[in-house]
Amino acid sequence: MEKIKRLIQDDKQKIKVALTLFLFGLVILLITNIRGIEWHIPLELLTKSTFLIAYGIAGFSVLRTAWNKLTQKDWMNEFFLMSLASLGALAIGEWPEAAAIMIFYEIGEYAQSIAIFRSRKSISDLLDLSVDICVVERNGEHVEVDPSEVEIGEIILIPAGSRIPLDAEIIEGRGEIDTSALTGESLPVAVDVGDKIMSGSLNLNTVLRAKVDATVDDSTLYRIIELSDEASLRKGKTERLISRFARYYTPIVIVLAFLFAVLPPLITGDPFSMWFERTLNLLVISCPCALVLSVPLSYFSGLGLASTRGIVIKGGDVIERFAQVETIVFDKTGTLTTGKLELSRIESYTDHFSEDELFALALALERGSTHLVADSLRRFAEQLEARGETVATVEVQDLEELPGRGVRGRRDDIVFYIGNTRLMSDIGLVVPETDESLSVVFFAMCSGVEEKRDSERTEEGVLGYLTDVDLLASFLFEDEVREEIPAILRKLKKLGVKKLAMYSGDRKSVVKRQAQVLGIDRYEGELLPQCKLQRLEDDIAEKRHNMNVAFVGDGINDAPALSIADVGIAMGAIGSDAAVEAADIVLTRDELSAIPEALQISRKTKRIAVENIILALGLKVAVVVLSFFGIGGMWAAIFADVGVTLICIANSFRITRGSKLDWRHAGA
Amino acid sequence: MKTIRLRFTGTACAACCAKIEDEIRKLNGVGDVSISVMTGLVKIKLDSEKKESILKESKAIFDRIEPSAQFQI
Repeated sequence: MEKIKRLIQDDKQKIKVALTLFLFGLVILLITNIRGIEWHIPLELLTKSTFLIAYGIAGFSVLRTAWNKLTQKDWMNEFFLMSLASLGALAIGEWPEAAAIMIFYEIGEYAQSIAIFRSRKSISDLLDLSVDICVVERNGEHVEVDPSEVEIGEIILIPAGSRIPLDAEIIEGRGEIDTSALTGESLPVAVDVGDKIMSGSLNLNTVLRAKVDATVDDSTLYRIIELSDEASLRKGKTERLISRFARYYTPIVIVLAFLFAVLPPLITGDPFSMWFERTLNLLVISCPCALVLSVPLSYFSGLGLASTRGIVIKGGDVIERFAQVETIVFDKTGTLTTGKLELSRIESYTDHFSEDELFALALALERGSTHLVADSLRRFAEQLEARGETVATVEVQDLEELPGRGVRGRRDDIVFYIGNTRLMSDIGLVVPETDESLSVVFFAMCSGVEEKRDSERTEEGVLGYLTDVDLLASFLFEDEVREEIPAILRKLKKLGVKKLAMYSGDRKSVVKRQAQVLGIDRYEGELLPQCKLQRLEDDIAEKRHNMNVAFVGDGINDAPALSIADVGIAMGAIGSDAAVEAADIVLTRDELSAIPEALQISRKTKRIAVENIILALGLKVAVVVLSFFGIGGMWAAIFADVGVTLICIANSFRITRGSKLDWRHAGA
Repeated sequence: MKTIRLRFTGTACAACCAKIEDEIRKLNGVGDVSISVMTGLVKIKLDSEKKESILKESKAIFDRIEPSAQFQI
């Protein structure tokens, strides 16, 4: 008895045993049919009891639940209807069908629970990335503690080959980390002192010493887990619609079944028994679960896939809205440019030095500087050398950085200055007008007077009264557009995004040039933050019905824009509370290529969800229609029902098999 | 009104989850409720004074509609 009880409670075992018995019964039936063996009492008893036992094993819990609910006066549920259908089949002597109804119903239910557990794996996989023990330096000793006991600012040691327990900044060690579980980036990332490392990444080859940036609860890994979990609660329109539909589905089927049983025989005079069987067919398809599950299952698969690619989408509603995106607005700062300057050209105003000499001098003067200009000059020199050209080395003395202005240095008796307009006016120069679309620094020299240094300089940085000051040249720089951006933007257009816009606080001319390089349709520069917001609102007002506007920001100071857009996308901002709160999509990898990817995932997810609905509803309607005409019979209904469940599940899993999407931005 | 997060373990059928949502939403003192059939997360926005009774009733609703899911208060 105990054994049977356990068997009935174990879904997998129950299905196995019942299915075996069922097939055994079918084989006997088949043999007797083919061989034309006389259908005698013992054989009949054997097959019937085989089917009956299979029915009992598979159907016991359904029957019991149906009965329990019935005692609570609840009969509008699929348990009752499945019981009714199978008991009806028994009543008209269709033993194999009765067993099949219960067995395949249970198979369908089992497949659904497997599907749910499998999908939950995307979150449990993330949980597996967390670490139980981490090594922290305290009072000069290394202690092993739980990561939750580590405070911000403490120093941790991360051995090679272990997961990074907390978000931290490297203070010692240089190596490679594998961030693939969080960002989908398959190549190892090189890290060095000063770099930030994310919890959940794998430290590959060297010991790293790092200063902790965030507690466990605020760490990247936990934020992603929390967001993914929470995302399952935010339901899209489709999901709501289907849930609402499910409420009416069962009553509709009951009414139809009743009409089937009663009306046609009364009208046509057909025997009641003929229509009774057709009625049972309807009851077999009375469970709307596969239909209702297919939508959240698809969405959840989509969310899970995105999270493994460094894209955290905050819910099914976001997937739906982003799939219908028409306009994408970029906040330029940091999202489209590298933040590096590129030397465009040198405008010379002097005959004393050639352009090469000017460059060599400037390079020498900027030698000790970490400013963007210095970086750019060094990179330019490297490019020249790579091309086989030589860059002369010039000796300069007394190098000095002038904060907010530029640099100064001396060569023999001449003092050179490189810096902005402010520095030039400090030394008494009026600068000429230059190409507005470029960033510019000026190069000047002062040869006449031995400069009296500290005594003549005030705290405001006025450099003294100089004579014989000459402007030598201006260096013009372009704000470097990220190399991969134009291709990514072309890809977005190819995916059907109608309008790309860029609203920036930068100079109009700079924005204009960049927009042209990037192929951006609408742009505006020199905008104050509130004006940017106004432009975004205009775009939202202009959008077509059912279409949406997305805003891409870096999460710093753009929370209002992230929240008013239909889809707010925060890049690389998982650490910022305000950005995570306001955004709908948070990118853990700081790459714009995640955006077309997110769009493809959203579209595919939505498409598959819709396919599932059409498929499930279509098959159910087909069963109703065919039953009405008496075609197909109960077997068709049974297989249609379990088939729908299996196909919908398989279809949803197609989302996570992302092979059809080309992840790289190669498409452009 | 405050929002609380709970979980159910085991699996529930999707249509049942929708039914359970509907019934919990109708409870006195409940602002909104969302249940995820996928993660088993249950988020209820409720009147904090009625928290105890709402949770008890919610559990009863779970037990009645979907006995195979264990709702943990």
